[in-house]
Amino acid sequence: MATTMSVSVTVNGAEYTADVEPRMLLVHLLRDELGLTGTHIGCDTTHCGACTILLNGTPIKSCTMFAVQADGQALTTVEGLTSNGELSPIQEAFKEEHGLQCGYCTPGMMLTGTALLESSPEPSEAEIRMAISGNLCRCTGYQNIVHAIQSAARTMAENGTGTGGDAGSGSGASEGGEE
Amino acid sequence: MSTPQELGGLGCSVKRKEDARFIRGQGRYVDDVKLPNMVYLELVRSPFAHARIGSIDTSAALEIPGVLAVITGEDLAAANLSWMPTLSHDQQMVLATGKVLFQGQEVAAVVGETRFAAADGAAAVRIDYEGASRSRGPPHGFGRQCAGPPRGSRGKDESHLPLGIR
Repeated sequence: MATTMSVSVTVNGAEYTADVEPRMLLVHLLRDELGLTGTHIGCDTTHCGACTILLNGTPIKSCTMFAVQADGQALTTVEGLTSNGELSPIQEAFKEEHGLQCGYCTPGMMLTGTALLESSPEPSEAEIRMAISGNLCRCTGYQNIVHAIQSAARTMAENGTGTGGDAGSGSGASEGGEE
Repeated sequence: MSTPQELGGLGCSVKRKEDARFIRGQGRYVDDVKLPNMVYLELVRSPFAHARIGSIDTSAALEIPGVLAVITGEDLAAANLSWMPTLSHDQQMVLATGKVLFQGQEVAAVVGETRFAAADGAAAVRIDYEGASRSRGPPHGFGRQCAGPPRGSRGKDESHLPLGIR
């Protein structure tokens, strides 16, 4: 039978080590081994983006990466968006702007939005739509998803805060202070 | 017309109660449910659009550690479970018996203790197809000997093909 390999990852600031088969997908490591079921599987083919997480701050589709490829990397999942139980600006905005219906695409949408606002704090609507073009919403709530990301950008600008979260995705931690 | 905001009636924005768990990744979808002794299912699908099923050899699959069962259409037929009703009021095969009618049709199901055991088992199921042919779409299949709709049903082709194809 198949051999296993050891993989160590930092997920939302916490370190995990697991022995997994080399063919195990990263999304299955998160969901089955670590119990982080907030990351969803929609299509298994990289189309839908439901499994989007951040790898060292960059959005990736975790159904299209092997768990062992993430060895030594820092991951952020939807469970890491809150900070001490407080919602991040983007989580708050999705709630306020009715940016979700069934909620299945929502973790991926919020992580993609988080990464966008890290690199581009004041994105245009076109930039937002381009950023989420790899995330499908079957409820077709795109309009309000765009509104939510715009709203989060405004909140961050007003409060002078970053995208938040326990994960400490790196670039966001030192931002802020500017009005 | 609207009611006062504090009453939250007509014309008032209402916050959804379910959002709190969804935006924290704490929804509980079917795929998230994990119960004791839960096992995995992997389907073996037909590579052909139309072919007779000659034989199905499940012995190699059953020898793979962690494979619990390999189920075929004949197994279901023996239990009178090989056809199921659909939402469009016809019926379809659960697992193919006799012949396959479209590419990707489910032919066998492998149950494993892990997703890997189930996948390995599915890869080890040996199926001999006879008279395999591929339909390249309605214009090619039309007027020739087609697979035909499932018995006792109108079938999908009747509601789709007559429109615009001559």
